[in-house]
Amino acid sequence: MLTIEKPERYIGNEINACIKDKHKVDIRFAICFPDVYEIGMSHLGIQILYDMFNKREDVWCERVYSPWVDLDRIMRDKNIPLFALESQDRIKDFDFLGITLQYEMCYTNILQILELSGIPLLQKERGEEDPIVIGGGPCTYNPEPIAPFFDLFYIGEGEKSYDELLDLYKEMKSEGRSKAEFLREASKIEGMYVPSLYDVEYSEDGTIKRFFPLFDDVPRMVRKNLAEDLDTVPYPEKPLVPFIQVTQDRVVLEVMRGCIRGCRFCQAGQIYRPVRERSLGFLKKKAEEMLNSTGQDEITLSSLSTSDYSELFELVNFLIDNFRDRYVNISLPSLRIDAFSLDIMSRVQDVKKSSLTFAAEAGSQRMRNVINKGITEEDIMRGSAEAFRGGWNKVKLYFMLGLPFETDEDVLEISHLSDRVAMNYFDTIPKEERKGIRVMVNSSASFFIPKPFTPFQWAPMNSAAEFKRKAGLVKEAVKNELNHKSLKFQYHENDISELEGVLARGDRRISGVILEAYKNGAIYDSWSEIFKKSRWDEAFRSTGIEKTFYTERERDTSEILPWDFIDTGVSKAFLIREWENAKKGVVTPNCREKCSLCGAAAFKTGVCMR
Amino acid sequence: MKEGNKLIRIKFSKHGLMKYTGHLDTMRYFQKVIRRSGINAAYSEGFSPHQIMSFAQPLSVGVESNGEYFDLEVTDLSTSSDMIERMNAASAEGMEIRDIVLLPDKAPKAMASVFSAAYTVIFRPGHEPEWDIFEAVRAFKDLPSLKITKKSKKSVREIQLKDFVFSLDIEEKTLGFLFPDGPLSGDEIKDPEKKVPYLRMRLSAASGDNVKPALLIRALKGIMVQGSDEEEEYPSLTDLLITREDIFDSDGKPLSKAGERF
Repeated sequence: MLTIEKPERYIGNEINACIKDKHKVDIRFAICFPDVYEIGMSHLGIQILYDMFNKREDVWCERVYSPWVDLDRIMRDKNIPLFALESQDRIKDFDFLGITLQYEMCYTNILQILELSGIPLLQKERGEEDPIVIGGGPCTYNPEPIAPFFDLFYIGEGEKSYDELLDLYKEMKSEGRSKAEFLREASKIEGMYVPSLYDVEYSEDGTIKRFFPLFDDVPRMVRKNLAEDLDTVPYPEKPLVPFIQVTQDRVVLEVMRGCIRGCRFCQAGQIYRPVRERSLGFLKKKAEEMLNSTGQDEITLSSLSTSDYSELFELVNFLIDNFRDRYVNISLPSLRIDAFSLDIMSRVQDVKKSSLTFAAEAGSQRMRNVINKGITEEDIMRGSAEAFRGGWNKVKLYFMLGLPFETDEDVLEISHLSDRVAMNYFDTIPKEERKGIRVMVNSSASFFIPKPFTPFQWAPMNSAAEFKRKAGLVKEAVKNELNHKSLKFQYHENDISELEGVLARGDRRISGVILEAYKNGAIYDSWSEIFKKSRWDEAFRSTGIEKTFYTERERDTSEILPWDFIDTGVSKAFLIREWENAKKGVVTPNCREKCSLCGAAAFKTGVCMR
Repeated sequence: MKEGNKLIRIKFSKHGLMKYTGHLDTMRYFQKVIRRSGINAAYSEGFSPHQIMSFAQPLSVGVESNGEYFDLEVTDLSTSSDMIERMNAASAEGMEIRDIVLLPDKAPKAMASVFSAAYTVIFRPGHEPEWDIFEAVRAFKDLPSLKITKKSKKSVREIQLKDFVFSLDIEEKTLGFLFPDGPLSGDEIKDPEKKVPYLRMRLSAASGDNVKPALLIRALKGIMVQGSDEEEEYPSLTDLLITREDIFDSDGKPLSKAGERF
């Protein structure tokens, strides 16, 4: 333990960790975030499920994270099996291994977890003694590239159907039924996808010809799970408190789920529909309980777009009134920049030290209309002027490159808009008030990757070379701007983007590539210092799979997509309408302005009922 | 210190898995314990206020302790036993508050009071020395002087080790006595009657003159095995099981004796 980096990653024993008598429970559930401890411990979903499972007397849920590369090597050399943090018992002896899938680049880490646990990588090679491997989280909205590694996928929000699933397991286990019998029954519960009960046929052109269940009693479509009322589902009162500093080292208060905005590039904005808020009373109570039970000195309000929470003003006032004299910081990510949010921010943070972030996403208004980013240049200028007057002089602008229908003029507008924001500072703040401080506009661009269940799921993705060319265009343009000394432009490397593009919209055949890449040594692919492109290139070569088929090809709306068997509530007809609107640059109003009949109203909750 | 505030000294022990938490994480851990236990710590001024807390001396990762200290400025007091009880109710397994005393006005800070520290040291089963450590201890005591090289992050210097070792004793104990709760994880104790060396030492711990037990063990080996006092990799992190028993001031009193229970 002393020879490895940060042994605290593996000791468990944290405040609010749950310890039970293993002989007094019926089900042992290992919940896994397939990345390093500091990342995994920062994830709200795990905290919610951990609490929810352990509130059941018959279940003991424990955690496991990916061993870092140093421990990974030792475990392989010395044949040490992967263990759960709480009991330090072997994962292989658990009933369930639940893996949350938050981003595609963690896929090789799933195989690491399985291999170190001594569980066969392929579902079909597992026996009765192996745990049931279940996947959840946003990547299950296209589970096909990893389908052969899982027994079961839970699609949708965990609060909804886990009780039913665990009750079924307990019953069938006590009756001595087999795993196959359990999986067959489980496939009938809403949101459960058992990949081994489905098969795929392909056409000669490589597209899917037919996707079908193998048995008549297995549902053709899998409908996502959704928690209708967020005030009545479990939410932790006692979140875990790690010893080491983790990425999100604070109390997290999820104020709402879903987003009214409908940005066309955003998967979360579609799959979590309809937007549902938690009540002010619920949030006040949880804030108090969590701060008392953890001793944390910071609380963050979490959601896809916190500015859209109806009672934000009341909630922030409550937090300030009750916790500021207890030295609790309030952090407010994902706020839209306007007079209201600036007022709130100036009350909870040090204006001089902080910088403001505008998620402009695209440089030109035409592009922002294409992606349905409901923010205009006027909004950005008004927001930044108010920010400058409020004392901020550092501004960050986020952009995406490679959006559908993007022209070079649109790309160059990233540079020009950054310059106009800098200019706005000089127009807003008179010279004598500038006190020699230079305004800084930091613009950064990421590469757009089309995701399933968005209106851009049919769109071609830019090649790595095209991304590089476009980033270069911006970089050059920035140098020639009037206020170039106040501008900085950064973009992220694109080796990973291309691969993420393949994994995001891949089909079952991609599982072979993932397996090969893992065998070539791929692991921790989201960590640029560990990622090696050659491991993946070799895997594509040896499996004969063409990347561009998945990335650069524009799909026809009539094509059967690998994830079409999932019903998110948002209809395909709506996504096609939005794809057409994108082509025309037509903006769709947000859910509070006007219902656009996406189909999510079928859940009969949230914003759809207003 | 602000008018009306009090300075208390908190003594704690650190055992089991908690020995893997480093110094900064231990500080962060106690900040949260204090918040959870409802003790009214005083906070610094400024935009990001923090608890006014200072530790006597960092403890190396992997070392257990029965006597660690930190000073805390508080805005009000209940009683020692009430505060000990509340903090222990908010503690992780392996961390325990042993004592809380109120320091008199103008008491030197914990850090400035540190003069020496007592340790017990045993070798991990399977890592016992191949050289005669009993003979080494005898020889060390008889030597008029012993110069060694002491390296720190900042400097390399030669020191007269005997000036920094205030006491050193060795005896034999059975494995069964040392590990009453069975073997440590990963270690097999096949013969609980087996006798192994057990050392007790009091070493200089003052700022700049801190001598760690491992340095003394290396020097002892150097007496027996020519040239081995330069072996920087010996003893390795996993060879020794070390417990710091207490920290003392220049009068030889534990730091908790600088104040009174209340």
